[in-house]
Amino acid sequence: MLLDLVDHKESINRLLARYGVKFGIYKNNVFHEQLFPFDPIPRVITRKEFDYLNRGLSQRVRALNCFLADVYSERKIVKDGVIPADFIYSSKGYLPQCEGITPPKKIYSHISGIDLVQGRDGDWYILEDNLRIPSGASYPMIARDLTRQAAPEAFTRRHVLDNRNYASMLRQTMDYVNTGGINVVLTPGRYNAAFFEHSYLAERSGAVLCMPQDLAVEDNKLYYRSYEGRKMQVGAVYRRISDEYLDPLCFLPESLIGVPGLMNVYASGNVAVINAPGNGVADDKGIYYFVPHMIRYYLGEEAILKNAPTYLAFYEKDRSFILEHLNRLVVKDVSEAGGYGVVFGSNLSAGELQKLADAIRTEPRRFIAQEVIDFVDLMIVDGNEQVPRKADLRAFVLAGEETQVWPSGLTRFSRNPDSFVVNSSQGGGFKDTWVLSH
Amino acid sequence: MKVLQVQYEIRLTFDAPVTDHYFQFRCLPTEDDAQTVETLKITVEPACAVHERIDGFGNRMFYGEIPEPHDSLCVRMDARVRVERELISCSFGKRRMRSVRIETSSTGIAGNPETEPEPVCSVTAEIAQYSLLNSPAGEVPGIVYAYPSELTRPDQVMREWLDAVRGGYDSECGFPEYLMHRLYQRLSYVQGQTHVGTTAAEAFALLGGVCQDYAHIFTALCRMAGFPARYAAGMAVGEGATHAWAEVWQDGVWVAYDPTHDCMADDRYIKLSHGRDFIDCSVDRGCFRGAGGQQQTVYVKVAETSTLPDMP
Repeated sequence: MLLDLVDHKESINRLLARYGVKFGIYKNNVFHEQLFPFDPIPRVITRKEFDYLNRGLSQRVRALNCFLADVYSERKIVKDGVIPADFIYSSKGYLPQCEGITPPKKIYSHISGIDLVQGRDGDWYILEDNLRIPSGASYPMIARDLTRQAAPEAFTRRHVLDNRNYASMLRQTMDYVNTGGINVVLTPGRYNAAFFEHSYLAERSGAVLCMPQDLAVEDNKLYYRSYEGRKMQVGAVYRRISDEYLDPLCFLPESLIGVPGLMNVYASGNVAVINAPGNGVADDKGIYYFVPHMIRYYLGEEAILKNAPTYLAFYEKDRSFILEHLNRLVVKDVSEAGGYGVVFGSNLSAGELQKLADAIRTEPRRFIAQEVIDFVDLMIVDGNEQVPRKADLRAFVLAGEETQVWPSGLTRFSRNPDSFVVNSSQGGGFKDTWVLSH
Repeated sequence: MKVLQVQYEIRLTFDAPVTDHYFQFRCLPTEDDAQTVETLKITVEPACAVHERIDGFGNRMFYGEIPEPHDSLCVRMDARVRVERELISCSFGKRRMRSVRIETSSTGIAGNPETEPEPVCSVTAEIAQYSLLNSPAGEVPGIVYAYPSELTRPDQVMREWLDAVRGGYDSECGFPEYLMHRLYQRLSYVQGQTHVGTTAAEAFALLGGVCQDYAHIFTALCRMAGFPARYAAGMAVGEGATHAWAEVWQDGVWVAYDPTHDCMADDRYIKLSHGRDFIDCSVDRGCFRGAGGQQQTVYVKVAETSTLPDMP
């Protein structure tokens, strides 16, 4: 099965290179652009399984949106003792500047990238939530397109849901919160890690791709000025600039890639910012532990999808468990992202274990520990053979009038046979994700 | 109670005309339980449309933009403000007035302005009482101010000093007040050795600085001791410039301390904003396009117009 695609590995990768499907990494302050290696064998998800994932993931994102609205207004979940204040107010992602701001339609996380893996037992486990500016949707979109070009016959015999509808889902999401005016995708520019994605999503969704200098605030509204000097009001900004650089009047004053005054316009309800600033408080690795509690608290439902078994060093009982079983757990530093700050106890020497234990004792709030999930391998093409590699799935959940999951997703795999870390910044590759129509 | 006449003027002048100037000012008196704004007038030159909103910390601010070339920006605020601030005595051992608006307190005593309050519980109990890890923290309005911020992150030297101060605490006054007195003995007011970006830990190592540094250090130490504390920016009678002090969440009310002068910030203080540290409170933030230098002059005047209490 799917063998017909194997032979197209080289040709599709060549096409991807020609279309500029790259991502950038900064190493020692030098910008390197790399191709994102594509593997032609897709991950295949049945319709039944997808329906289950759709229910679980949209439930999760609905609860996370409730949580964000609560954190920046009434703080009921803290008052009711469900989540300790420490995990919210000492989080780097919590931005007091956003207190009291109600985003259009009360949606905070419009585009969520939820990472999950399938265990050997067949169950899916959530690894982390990405509610700030999750990237990656463009890769399976364009890979599907190019695969269809290279191997059209592969799709005539199989009933695969078209994933190129991401563009229209994105457009509907922007239109739903748009306060009047055009939609724009705001990119920091050519040297951003995900510039390909910014330009591709803008082009496909019919939004205007713009750089910070193309936008300006005037009389408490946001305007786009085109190359020819035409001025148009902006109703929704899908910004791919992180919170701290978004507006030098509100966050880092030294930011040169922000739009001065944007936060004032947003706070006045005159533009939608996608995703809302301040979302980092909800995708913190420490908060992850509490998401099933949130689902119960806000929705009165039990979580459909499981978290990986997680221990919080903050709680004394969990801490002693972690210290006792350090050599078999994976420890994550809550303040890091992108696969950094993740340590597998089994890879550490006795001295390193001791050092880690000391760090956990000194700053318990900084660490979570998880059981290593033995997740399923997917086959990848390696030269003339196929070999199994660890892979996860980043599912994209879009919250507009409804909250729904895109019937595809970014499947990332580790190219290293001994590694569980699949992040592209750590050298991983990607696959398309097929959802069957039956 | 005092009625203060307040003037604040900031003038930015540029060596060469600038364009695309975005500005944002936090120079309006806050309106809260302590301050009632009776009259307020703002002028901006060159004339332009301004908008006002409340920021995430609860401060009033106004903002606007001047796209056309201009070589200066002047903002002037005139206000009359009635000030009635909660006070705690500010001398060792003696307690004249105490905060009165206690709704619920864990010691179970409701405050009463007419009577001398009971002596407070022992220091360890008092500190534990505010320890956020042990209390339903969501109930604390000051929760945002319970954690270190960029300019108030303490270091090991401050931690050790605080431990020593805690160990020596045998005074009848509340711990924040005791801490302020001890800090005043340790620090000296020195201009020029710190700047607006100096952190509490840096200024503490230098053994002094200006009001901003005193406020940062005191705020950082209070938070470490378990008291939510915030940085306050404003003006005071007799100060020819803007001033900074701190507010500490105690017994269900914000109590204002002026660590630079080792006293309570009383009705002669006008608050313009508060936040986690100076960064949240900067009076003016802006950016513009243009080459050449800029100068900034600030004029501040605060005068008492009446010291008589309101007639019934």
